[in-house]
Amino acid sequence: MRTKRWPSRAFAVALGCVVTASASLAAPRCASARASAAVEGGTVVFFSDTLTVIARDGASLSLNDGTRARADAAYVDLKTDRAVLAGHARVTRGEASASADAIALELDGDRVDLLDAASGVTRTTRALGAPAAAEFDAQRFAFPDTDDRFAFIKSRRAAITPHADVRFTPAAFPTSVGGVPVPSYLYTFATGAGFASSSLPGATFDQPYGLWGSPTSLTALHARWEDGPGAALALQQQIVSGDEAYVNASIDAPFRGYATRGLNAYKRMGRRYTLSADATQTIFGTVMHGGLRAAFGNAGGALDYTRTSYGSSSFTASLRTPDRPLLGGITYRLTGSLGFDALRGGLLGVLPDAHRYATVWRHGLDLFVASPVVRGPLGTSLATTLDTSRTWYAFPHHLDQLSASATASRPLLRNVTLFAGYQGSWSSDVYPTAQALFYPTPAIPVIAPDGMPYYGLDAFSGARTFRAVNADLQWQPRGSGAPTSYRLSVVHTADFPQFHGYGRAQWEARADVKFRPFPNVGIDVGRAYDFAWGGTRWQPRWSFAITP
Amino acid sequence: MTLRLAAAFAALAVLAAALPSIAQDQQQLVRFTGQLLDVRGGYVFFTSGDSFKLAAAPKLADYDTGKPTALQPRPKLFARAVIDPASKQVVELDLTTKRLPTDAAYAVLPNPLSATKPATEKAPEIVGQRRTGREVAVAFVVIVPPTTPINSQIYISTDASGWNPQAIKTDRIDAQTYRAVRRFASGTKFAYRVTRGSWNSVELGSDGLEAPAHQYETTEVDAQSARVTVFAWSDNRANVPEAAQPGAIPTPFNPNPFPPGGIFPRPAATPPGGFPTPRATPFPNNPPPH
Repeated sequence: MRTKRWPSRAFAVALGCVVTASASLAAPRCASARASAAVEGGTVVFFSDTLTVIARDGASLSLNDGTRARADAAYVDLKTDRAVLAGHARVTRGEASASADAIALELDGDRVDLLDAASGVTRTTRALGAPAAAEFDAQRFAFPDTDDRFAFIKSRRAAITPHADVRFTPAAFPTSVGGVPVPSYLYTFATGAGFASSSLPGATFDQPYGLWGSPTSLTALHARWEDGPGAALALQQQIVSGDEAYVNASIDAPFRGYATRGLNAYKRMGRRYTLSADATQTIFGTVMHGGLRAAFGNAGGALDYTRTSYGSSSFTASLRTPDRPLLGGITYRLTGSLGFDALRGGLLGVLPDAHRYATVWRHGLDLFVASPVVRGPLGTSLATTLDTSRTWYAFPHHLDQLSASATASRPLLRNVTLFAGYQGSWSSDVYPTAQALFYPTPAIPVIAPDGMPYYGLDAFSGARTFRAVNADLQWQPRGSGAPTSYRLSVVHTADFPQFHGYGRAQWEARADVKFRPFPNVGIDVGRAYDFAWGGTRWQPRWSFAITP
Repeated sequence: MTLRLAAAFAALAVLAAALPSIAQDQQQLVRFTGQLLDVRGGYVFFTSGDSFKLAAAPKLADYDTGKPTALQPRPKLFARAVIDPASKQVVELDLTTKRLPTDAAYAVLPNPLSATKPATEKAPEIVGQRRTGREVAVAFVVIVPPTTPINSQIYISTDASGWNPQAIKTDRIDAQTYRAVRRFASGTKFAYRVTRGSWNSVELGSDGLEAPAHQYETTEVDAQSARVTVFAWSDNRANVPEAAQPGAIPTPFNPNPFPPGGIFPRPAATPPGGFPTPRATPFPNNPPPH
C-alpha cells in the first residue's frame, strides 16, 4: 500500500502544481484578455463556420474605449475583427458623434468608415474628428446575406475578445439536436494548434462547455458519453503557446466507474525535435511517460521513458529509416530499438531468484514492408502490408512477431462499395531453456466466462495467433462522400487462445447509419452484435455519436 | 427701316430656330476617350472594356487638329470617340499616338451607349476575391499510411468545432483513401487535422513529428476539394511493446491484462493492480470466484 500511495501522492502534487501554475499563468491573461467589444440586439445569431455574428432588430456595439454605435443591424467578422453597422447608423464617443447609412470600423484598430447616400464615403478615426472624403471600397461595407435558420447559436448579447472567444448571453442552439439553451456560452476560436490537444480519455460523445478563456488558455467543462462507464463529466484546463507548446490537465469523472486524471504537455524544440510528457492516474495507479522525438529528414528517432506507480518502468531508444523503395512501388522501413524493462521485485516472477532481474535490457529490429494500392479490373483495389520484428532480451529470451494485412475494395454498384480485409498476427515468446517454466500447463483448467473448462489452453506455450477477416458493405445513396451512408460489417476472428468468451468474439455483425438532419449536425448510430460468445446467444451494443 | 426690321426678324427667327438644334447637338454628342483595344466587326473596343458600334462611315480625324488623318485605328492607339446618342453609334474617331488622360465624360457616360459592360472591378489576384457566402461543397480526401489498422475510422478535426477529434467522419473509398463532403459558406476559413478518433492517434508529418494544422479556405466556386496525405499516426511506435488491451493474452511480462483479478494466479512480483491496465469494461473474461 505504501509503495502505491507514494507515487499517487506525488502525481497529485505534481498535477496540483501544474494546475496551479496553469491557473496563475492563465489568470493574468484572462484579465488582460477581457472582452473588448459587445454586440447586442433583439436577435443576435452566430455562424460557427464563418465566425460571423449578426445582430438585428436594433443593434448596438460597445467598444471598451467608450465608443458606442447603434444601427438597424450589425455584422461582426471575428476572423478580421471588422464590424459593419447598417441602417440609420450612429457612432458616438464622448461628445463626438457621426451618422451615416452604414459605418464600418475595426474592433482593434482606429479606422472608421462612413457611407452615406448623400455625401458618399468619408473616413475618420475612433476620436470621430472631421471626416475626410475616401475612396469607396465595397469590401469595407460588405454585409453577408445569411439564413438565420442555420445559425449555430441564437442569442441577445455577444461579448467578443478578439482572436480568442465570444461569450453569448443567453445561448440557444437552434440546429443542434439536444442542444439545451443555457444562460451563457463561451465559444472559443483561438487558433493555437495546441487547443487541439486533450488529456481526456476517448469518448463516444464529448460536448465541451467553455468556462473561461483567453487567446492562450481555456478552461472547459465536458459532458461526455464513454464506452463502458457511460455518462461522465470532465474538467480540462489548456494552456497554449501558439503552435509551439501546450500543457493541459484534466479530470474525468464518470457517474459509474472510476475517475481518470490526465496531464499532457508538448514543446517543439526547433525544427527537428519535440518534447512531450503525459500522465494518467486511475484507481489502478499512475502511468507517466516522457518522450523526445527527432527528425533527420524523413528518418527519425525517439526516446521514450514510461514509469508506473506500481514500480515498473521501461525505456526505449529507437531509430527508423525513411520509407525506402524496394521494387515495383513497394516500400520498406527498418526500425532498431534499444531499451529496458524494469519492475521492483523482479520481472521474471516465476524464477526463484526473480529479484536479480529487476531490470532486463532488450534490443530489437523491425522491418515493415508496404505495397502500393494496386488497381485491378472492375474498379478493384488491393493494398498489403507485412511487419516482422524480433526483440532480444538480456535474459535468454526473445519475442518474434509477424503481422500481415490485406485490404481490398470493389465498387459493386455506383453507390455501393464492398470492402474486404484480412489481418493476421503471429507471435512467439521463446525462452530457450525454460519454456515450460514460463508457460506451464495450468494445474486447474481455466474456466471460460460461460462456465466451460478450457482444456485447450494446455497447448498454449507462448505462441499466439490472431486472425481476423472482415467484409463491409457501404451504401451511399447520393454518391461517394455524401452525408448519408449505410454500412454493414461482418468480422470473423480465429485466434489462439480463444474459447467461449475468452479472447475476442468469433463473430461480430454491425450496422451503422450516418446522416445529417441539419446542415451542421450529423448523427451516427450503430448497432453491433457478438454472436454465441461468453455464454450468450448474442450480445447487442449500441453506439451513438453527434458530430458537428 | 421696315426692310431692316424684317431682315432682323428673319435673322432672329433663323437664329432662334437654329440655336436649339445646335445646342441639342452639342449636348447630345458624347465623347469618350481611351486606349484602343481593337476595331473589328463594326465595333470599336477600348481597353476599359467599353465598346461602341461604329457608324457606317465614321470620320477619322487627328486628335489635336481635328483634320483628317492618315492614322488607322489599331490597338495601343489612343482615341476619342464622338458618339451620337440617338443612334448610339460612333460618328467620329479622333486618333493620336499620345497617351491621353481619361476623358471626364467617361464617368458620366450612360451605360446603354456601351455595347459591353465595363469591367471596373480590380483583378481578384490584387485585391482578393470577394466572398458572397454562397454554399460550396467541399470534399476532404484523406490518404492514410499503410500502417493504418484495417478497420480504422478516420475523422477530421477542425478548430471551428472546438478541435473535437471526431468532428467530421469520413467514408472509406478504397484501401488507403477516405473521403467526406461538407458544405461551407464561401469565405469559411479553418484549420484542421486528421485523427483516428482521438488525440492519441493524430496524424504526423513526413518527418514523424507533429505538423502544423492544415489551413483551409472555401473560395468562390461550386465545389472544392482538400486533399491530405497522412504519413504516420502518433500512436504507431514500431517495435515498442504495447500496453495490454482487453482480449490480450497474458505473458510473463504482462501476466494480468484482464481487470480486475485476471485469469492466472498472480506471480509474487506482479504489481498491485497489474501492469498498465485498460479502463474496466463489462468484459466477460473474469473467471467465477474461487
